[in-house]
Amino acid sequence: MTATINEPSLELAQLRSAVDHVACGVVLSDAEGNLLYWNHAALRLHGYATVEEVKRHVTDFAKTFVFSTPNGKVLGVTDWPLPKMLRGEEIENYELWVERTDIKRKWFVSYSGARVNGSEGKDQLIVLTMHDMTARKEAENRLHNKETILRTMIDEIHDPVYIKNADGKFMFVNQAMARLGKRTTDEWIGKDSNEVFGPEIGNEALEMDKRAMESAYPFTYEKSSDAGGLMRHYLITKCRWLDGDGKVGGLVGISRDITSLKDAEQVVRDGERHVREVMDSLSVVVVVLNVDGRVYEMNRMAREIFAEEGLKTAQVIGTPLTSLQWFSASPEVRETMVHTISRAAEGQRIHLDNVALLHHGRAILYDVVLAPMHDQAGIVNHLILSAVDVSERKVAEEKSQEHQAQLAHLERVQTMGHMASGLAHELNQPLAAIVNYAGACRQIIAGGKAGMTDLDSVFGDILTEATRAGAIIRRLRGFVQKQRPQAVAVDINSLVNEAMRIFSYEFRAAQVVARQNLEANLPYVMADPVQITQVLVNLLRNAVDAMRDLDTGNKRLTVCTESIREGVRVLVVDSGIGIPQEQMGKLFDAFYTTKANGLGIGLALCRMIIENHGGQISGQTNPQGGMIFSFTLRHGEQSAGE
Amino acid sequence: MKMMELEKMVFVVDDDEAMRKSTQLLLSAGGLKSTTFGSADDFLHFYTPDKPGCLIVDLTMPGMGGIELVRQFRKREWHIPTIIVSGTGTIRTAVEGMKLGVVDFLEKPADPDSLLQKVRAALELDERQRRLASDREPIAKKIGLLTDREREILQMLVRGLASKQIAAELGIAMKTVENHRANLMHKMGALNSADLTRMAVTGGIE
Repeated sequence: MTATINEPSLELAQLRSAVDHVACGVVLSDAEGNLLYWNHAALRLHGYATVEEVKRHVTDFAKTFVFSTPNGKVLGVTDWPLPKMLRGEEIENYELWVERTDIKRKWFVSYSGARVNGSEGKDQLIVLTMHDMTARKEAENRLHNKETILRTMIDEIHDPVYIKNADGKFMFVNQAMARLGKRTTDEWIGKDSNEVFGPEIGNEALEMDKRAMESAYPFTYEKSSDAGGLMRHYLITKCRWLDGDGKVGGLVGISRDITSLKDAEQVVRDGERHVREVMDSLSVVVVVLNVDGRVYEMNRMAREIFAEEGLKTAQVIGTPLTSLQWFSASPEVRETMVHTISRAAEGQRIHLDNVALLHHGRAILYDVVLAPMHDQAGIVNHLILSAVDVSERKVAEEKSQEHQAQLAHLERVQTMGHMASGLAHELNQPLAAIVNYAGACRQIIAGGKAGMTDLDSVFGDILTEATRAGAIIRRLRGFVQKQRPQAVAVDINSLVNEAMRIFSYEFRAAQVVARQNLEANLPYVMADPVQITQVLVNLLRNAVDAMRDLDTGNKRLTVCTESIREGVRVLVVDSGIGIPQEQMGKLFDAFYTTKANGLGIGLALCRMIIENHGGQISGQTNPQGGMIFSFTLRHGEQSAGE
Repeated sequence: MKMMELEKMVFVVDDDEAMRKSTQLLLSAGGLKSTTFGSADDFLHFYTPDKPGCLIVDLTMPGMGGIELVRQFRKREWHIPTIIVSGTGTIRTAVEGMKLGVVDFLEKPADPDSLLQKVRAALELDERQRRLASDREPIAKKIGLLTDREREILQMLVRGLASKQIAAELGIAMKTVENHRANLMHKMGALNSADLTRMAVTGGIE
């Protein structure tokens, strides 16, 4: 049902007022192109305020206005909307850029035209209606620019990028993606992964597409594929996109080639694994700390120790090291450790000997080193603590020393065996003298012709000789007795005297002229007197053996001592047959001997003894014939510590 | 006789001072005079064969030892009776020493009485040798006057052969042997056959 409106009841003034106020611009022109009427919207749309300014012929605007197409092509006045209508063409939604050059303003306007015939077929009017499309046009331009920039950007991205629709078909791929699939960008459109890559890769990709589209969040996974024999690794990120209605329109994907990254990561991982394996293989407790003393990392030995305390690795990590039971052997240990950690954090490397740490419920001695670790800038970022259980080493050292002492003892006994007859002779001298004195006394007493003073002097001689015999026995017993090696301050000259006394008979028997050239006031050295005497006896014996076949008178032996920077040096110089150059290298090897009845342990033992004392032993040819054997001994050790 | 006793000297060679001193004291207590030397060389420089006495020497000394010293005596035809004392004597050195004419080996420490006894024996030997040597000199001179044949027959007589046996062995007449024998007796100035034999032995005929 339609209500009928009584038209004549509408007044012209009313009608005009209504048109004046419509939102759409309205302009009336006569058939000549004279502009008769502009409503408010039309004035605004062309930058005018009053009708008086615009009641003119259309061509009067030619200097003020530039009309151009959306593509930017400038129109001549004849192609303006009104002249077109005047020529008899119809226009509808004729979209143009309208620019007013005098006030530098620009609108995008859509024009439509209509003709109104007056009575009697004359006075035809042309009605131009117009809409301001400027805002829409600008939005369109912005969108266009945005898209162009985006597309350019995406095309230039190194990583393959693509957009798929909800069916998994490619809507867009960038240049990198096109290269990857060896197709032009257009050839991808409308195909899915299956068609491009084949089912082996494609099916999985489609599956992942589905999962990506089900989630509101980007979905990332790694994919490796063989590219002509080379393994390439990709980090693939897929994220669904929503259309204007908020429905899933498809997905955007980026397949980033992370092969080089992966390789580098592998190198780092291998390196880390190696470091870890090396650390774990050490029989040393290694704990890495943060600079504040909290545990950052530890090796197998450390884990085992803390496991015995009932602590899991995760419980230890992050705990201040000194709070652990390990350090609870005494408050001093903990205090020292706290102090040491703070010093190490300042960049010092600290070595602590014999730190008692609690393990298996008892204090065990460790040698502890705490060293700072630096980052690339050289700043201390961690501390590394390594602790070696020295109790076992100490036992082993003692055992080894015991074995060496036993060997040395055996050698001394053997030496004594070789020298037995000589030693018997040595001992016989005072005994024979005593016997003579005693015999003389009896003769004197029997004769009854001596005074008491004569006898007293003889008894004095007897005492002297008995004491001499005792000294010989004491010396020999000292030499062969079994005892723990001990380091005491010794005067090396007195040891030289002792050794030469022990050997005095051998010198006599071999008719060797033995001399001493000893530096007076030598510094004391820390040494085991018995073992050093043994070394001297060995060297004397070798010297005497080397001279055995020489003519009497050519057998000369000299023992010299001298002080050197690090301690003292002893030289045994003989005039013997010497040692061939080719054998010099083996001199100190065990079981190497040039003697028919030698065991070959003499010099090897000498070296062992001297090196255990921190000294050195060597043999060299004497330029005047024979050999020079020398060894050094160091000053007493400085107190151990940092 | 008393004078001779005083001249006898015991020479002691030992590198050990205490040994020298104690041995000297022992000998002195036993009434024997002694001179001591620290080395064999010192003794060789000092000694001449006209010095009566005996020697005690240590077997082992630096430089020249006891055996070596005795060897030097043989080279120089010295006959000083020698006693070697040793703490380390072996059979080998003992045999070697005996071959060289060493009169005794004593092991250290030696019993003082037996040392004195052996020293006295050695001194007696020296005396005997010297007496023998002084006896031998005139007899040797007489033997030098004998003809070769007479010396030959003297040797046979010393062996205890009778004139008849000598004649048979030499293939000469019994009478000729008797003549030679008479000449012998005369030249030697022998009282009888026994005296002739004693003189021949003293003079070195065997």
